[in-house]
Amino acid sequence: MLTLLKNARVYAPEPLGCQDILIVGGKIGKIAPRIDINQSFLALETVDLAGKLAVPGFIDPHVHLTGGGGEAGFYSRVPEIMLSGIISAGITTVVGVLGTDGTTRHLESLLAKARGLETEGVTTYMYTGSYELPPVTITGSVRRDIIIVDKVIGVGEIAVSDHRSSEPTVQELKRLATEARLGGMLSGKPGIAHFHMGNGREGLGKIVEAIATSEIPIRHFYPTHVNRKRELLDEAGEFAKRGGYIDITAGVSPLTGFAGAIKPSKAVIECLDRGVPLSRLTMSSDGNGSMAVYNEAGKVEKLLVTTLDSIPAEFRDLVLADGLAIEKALYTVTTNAAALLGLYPVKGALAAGSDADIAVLDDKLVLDMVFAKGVKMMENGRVIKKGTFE
Amino acid sequence: MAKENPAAEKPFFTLLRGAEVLAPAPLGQQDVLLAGEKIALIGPDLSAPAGWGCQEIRLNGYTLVPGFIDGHVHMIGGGGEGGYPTRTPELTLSAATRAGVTTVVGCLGTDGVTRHMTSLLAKARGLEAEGITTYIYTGAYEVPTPTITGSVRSDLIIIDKVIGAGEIAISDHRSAQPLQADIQKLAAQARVGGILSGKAGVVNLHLGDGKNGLSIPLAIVEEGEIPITQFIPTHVNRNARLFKEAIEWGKRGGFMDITSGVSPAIGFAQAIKPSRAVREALAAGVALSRITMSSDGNGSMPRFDEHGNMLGLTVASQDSLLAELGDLVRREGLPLAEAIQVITSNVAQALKLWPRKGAIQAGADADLVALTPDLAIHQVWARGRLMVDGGKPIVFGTFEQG
Repeated sequence: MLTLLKNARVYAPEPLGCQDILIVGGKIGKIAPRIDINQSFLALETVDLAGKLAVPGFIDPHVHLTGGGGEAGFYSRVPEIMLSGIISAGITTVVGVLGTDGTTRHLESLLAKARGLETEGVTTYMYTGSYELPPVTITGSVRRDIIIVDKVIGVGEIAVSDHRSSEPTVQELKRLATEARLGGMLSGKPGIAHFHMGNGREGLGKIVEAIATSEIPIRHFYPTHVNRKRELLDEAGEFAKRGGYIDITAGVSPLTGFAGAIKPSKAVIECLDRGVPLSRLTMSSDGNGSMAVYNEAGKVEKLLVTTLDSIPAEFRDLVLADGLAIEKALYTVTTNAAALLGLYPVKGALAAGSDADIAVLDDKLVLDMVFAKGVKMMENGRVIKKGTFE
Repeated sequence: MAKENPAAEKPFFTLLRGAEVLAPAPLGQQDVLLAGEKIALIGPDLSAPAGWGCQEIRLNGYTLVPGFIDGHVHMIGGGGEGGYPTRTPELTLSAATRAGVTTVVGCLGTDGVTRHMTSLLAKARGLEAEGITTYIYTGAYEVPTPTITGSVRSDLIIIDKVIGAGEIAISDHRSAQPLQADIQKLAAQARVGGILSGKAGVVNLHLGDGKNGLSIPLAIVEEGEIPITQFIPTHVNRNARLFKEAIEWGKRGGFMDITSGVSPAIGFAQAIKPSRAVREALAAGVALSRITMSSDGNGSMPRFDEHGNMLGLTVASQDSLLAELGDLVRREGLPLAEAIQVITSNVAQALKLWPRKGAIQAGADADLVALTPDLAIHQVWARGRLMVDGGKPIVFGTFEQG
């Protein structure tokens, strides 16, 4: 029931210096420079972190939990993610999405997978819908899904400006965002419409037009993969300066075969240099999806399965290669997503009353331990809590 | 989620000192440490380290029991059997907490036309945000029964709060005259939905005064693969004939749910007083663990003559649970540690909520009731938050007048 982490260098994400952290029943009970426990509290595990960093568990707001892909036929359908694939990346909260295939992939399966992972120890949410419009749903409409199904926090990923999209119109985007917004209002959730941005020439055009010609606040429109090409990142920067959240895909990088892409950590730095508020930037892995690389004729050249490890890798690069302060880099992989998803400060913060989702890093920012809802999931860099069938 | 966080309004740690603890097993005088919404520790003479910001509450002379679980409540109102003016109003937060109730299972009732499952779900989520714990049954009196997603099975799998089907009426002039096959298929849906979602998947059966009594569920259990614990028949104390059948049902291992709001004292002449019904069932050899009690709160309690004409109508409150608990101890002579089980641990077991609910132990939800020596409510804690103090509600629902 009680775990005491001694001598942690706490980033909450603000730097708090050397602190002890008391974990009680899945929550953080107290953070103080020195916590001493008297003898009556025998059921206590003490872990000396000896100056290692304790940061909020990473939040990955875009993961194909049941597997994505399928763009090269049935053999290319990516399998389900396992618990250790999440924990090994220091991630303790994920938001699941379907993806391209709303025909042989189902939202009920995604919901069941999310519930299963939650039971295994991490925190999960999901989007209703898939690439196409009208959206696939569980209960008949986006609004109903958000109101009725606890785990559904919005609709997505809806493809725009992509040859795999359903070529949605501006009017359709407005209706969709309205459905998400109303469902969110009535259920006390964020009600987000999350957009997969493709390589098309149109970019954010229709989304910007939908906002300009409606009363829907910009925060309900949340585009991802914005670092997939130069023009899109430029547009996204302007979008974020107007108050929108933008999501950089950690798995899309020139180093992993996406020639036109901007390396995720560089994309963050570039946005900040241009005056984008740090609070509007999130990073997701697009994990467990396929990353199709197409040739000029629109044929699949190769398929990559994306892992979630790109999140800690890009976080590390942000600090060690690009020189961003640790606390600032943490905002992009924890706090900002929590705020967008309406989870802050239960998630995305280390404070009394927050969930005990904690990643412990050594001074090279390599993962050493992970606690999810107070349970130790990783120790000495190795995942110690496996999923049911691992 | 923009969820209210009740724990944020008080110190994270609370130490309840010196109460006699019934977990429900008697643990003697203990200190109980609450951390956020959970019970962290139980032990004699616990002391919170200096600087923890722990609030301490002295409960010497009081008895601490698990928060009551009311397994059958018409959260959005019920009734309507006397026309539209007789539709009963919604449950308010303090009406539950002042009765010691910290977990409520909501159901629709007779009216599956002007009452909707989605409204019940929204009400349950609202009460949860206000501080107590809620679940719901999907369905109404009739079969086929109304659901949210199209079937009982998929409601159970898809919607977190749905833990079974109910209340489905049998042996009642307001029932849909279900066949055995109707109830059997419904129970199968509930069972499979429960299996796939890790929930109880029970069928809450409203028993009327009809002659067929428990014959349908009995026949299903006798011939089929569906276990007897898949059914929770309620209102079994409404007449002597039904009660006799329920005792046989209980002796075979089935749960029998006694309605605390159905009693001769409030006009149900044929009924067996709830506290006496518990005593009689025990005396007849039903295991204590099979007996539960629910209030039927916020439903209407219509009384009909032999021709089916309505004689009168009352609204059931949840206060009857505490009143019957008191009578069970004082008049029927049952020890409190046993009596308390019918509104706490037994309900939690039947609904597969134990030991998170219905138990005072480390790791359980901090749902607690402090009772005075004469079994009145002193304090009620729901998920770590003090809701009732000195017998008076101190936390109110969003639109209640405090």
